[in-house]
Amino acid sequence: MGRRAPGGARLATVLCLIVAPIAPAADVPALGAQPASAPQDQPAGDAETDLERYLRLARQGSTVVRPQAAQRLVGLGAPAAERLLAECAGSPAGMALLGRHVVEVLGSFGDPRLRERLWRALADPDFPWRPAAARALAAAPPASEGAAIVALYADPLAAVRTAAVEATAALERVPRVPALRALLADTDARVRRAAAALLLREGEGCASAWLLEELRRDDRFFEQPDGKLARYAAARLLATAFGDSAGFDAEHPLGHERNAAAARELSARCRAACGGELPAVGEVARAGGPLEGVVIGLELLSCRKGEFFLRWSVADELFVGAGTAVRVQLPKGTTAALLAESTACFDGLGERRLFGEPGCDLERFRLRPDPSVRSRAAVVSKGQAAVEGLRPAALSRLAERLVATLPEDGDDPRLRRLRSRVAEALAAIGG
Amino acid sequence: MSTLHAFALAVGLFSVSPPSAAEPAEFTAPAPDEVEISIMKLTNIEWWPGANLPDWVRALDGQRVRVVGYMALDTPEGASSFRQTWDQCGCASAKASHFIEVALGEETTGYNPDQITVIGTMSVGEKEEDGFVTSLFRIAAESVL
Repeated sequence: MGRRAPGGARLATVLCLIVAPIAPAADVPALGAQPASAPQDQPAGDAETDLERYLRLARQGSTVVRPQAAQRLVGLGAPAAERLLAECAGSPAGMALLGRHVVEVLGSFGDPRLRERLWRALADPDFPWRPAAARALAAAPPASEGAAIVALYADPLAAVRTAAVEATAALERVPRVPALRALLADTDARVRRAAAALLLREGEGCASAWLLEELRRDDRFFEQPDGKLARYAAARLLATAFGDSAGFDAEHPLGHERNAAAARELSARCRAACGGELPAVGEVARAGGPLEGVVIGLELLSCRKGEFFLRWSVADELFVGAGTAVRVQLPKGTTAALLAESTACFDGLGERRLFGEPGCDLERFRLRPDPSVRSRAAVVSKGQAAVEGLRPAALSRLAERLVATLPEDGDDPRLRRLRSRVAEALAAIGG
Repeated sequence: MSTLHAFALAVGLFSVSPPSAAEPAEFTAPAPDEVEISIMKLTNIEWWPGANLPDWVRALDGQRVRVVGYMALDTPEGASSFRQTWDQCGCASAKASHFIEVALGEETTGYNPDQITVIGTMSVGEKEEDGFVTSLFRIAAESVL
């Protein structure tokens, strides 16, 4: 790796840009059932203190108010910390009841007892807010936690791995470990971007190649423009490193004619930071475009079991993963059979499209028999507590059929134990 | 009329042609008097309470706009407004600058997981309730496709 990039980012700025403005999709928050404009004050009496009010709103307020109320708890300092310690009741289960947004600010109190509780919660694979706990630990971590933070690079949840890189960035001295560089080959783009940004900040200018590659992405998951999201995120990180993004328009990929000048300038800057030609980013990080002929999709987002992005095409191909997905050729006729099942399933669901309540884990079944029109989706969403029979029988049958087409193994890490892992995630979400 | 579907039907929205095979629905052309906004560009601005908004964002105030995006998963049945987000569940869009609050007027909706196009009049600026910023971007919807 080469020289330090010009305009090396300040720690707080880098952290901010890694997590904002678009946070990882992996950490599905406990979304309330109230619309954004719902009244915030419930009957609570005149005696309600600021602490009580903020705690109530951080747990039960509207989606947009919760994080603000949680931040105000931090502003109350020690009394709030003591109250939250009491609420945790010494167990991850108690902490879970605080909700995602309160968990996410617990590290900001600077209280070692809360940090100890966060680590304990993070060690519990069934704790529903593991990514939030990991992000909380990224707030001013002491050097003594460095090794534990690095150990999180191997966490099964990409959102936790990303948070671990953020926590590393917040350490007073960033550990020089090969494990950080290895994250440039992570199967999740958020992790790769975070690692590249930190390495770039720490003087490894060749890591800029991974951010430059993200600017080339133009992939979608059905209609959702994942590639564009990646371009915005990477452009911000490069702008932090280089002072600006050379006029790059994230609405279009780097290869678009509108970005011709920006492409030349950014490539030159990255090469200069690297001290020569940029390294190859590897297959998993290579930018991709839209997939042709995709007609069925299944997304599983679980704070406990991880994320899966699966698509089936009319050419009997299975694509595993977001971004540049790994392709698996399926037996002839597989997709046609699945398509018939899916269509019958969706017809059977009628108008209803959401099963369950907004929560931490969700399954999204997607159907687009005609690639020229928008896809239709059905969503199974689980709150904090398990619900028996959450997924309707028709979707359960479809899920079984989809899972049966998955390979159990393969060379790509995304294929390892794929069928088993997807089955486990489905069981954890919809039962 | 109790659903968004009925709302759209009532104002004749289903007469809009489907997109061509080559172009995803996101890129259907706007009407001449509509300003097409990228929700991802809009929600990527740097903002904190009290911050000045970029000129191009402030210029959207009062404009008739067209925005392609998704309905946030926290939209309850019977809602007269919802958060429009760039992604399919709005899971990462709790910050006021990360969504558009879409008001349906007299109409109501429940959660729709499909991509939607909102057309209506935009208003821009911090809206506060009980001391909290509850939205930054709002659309009074004429139609939701």
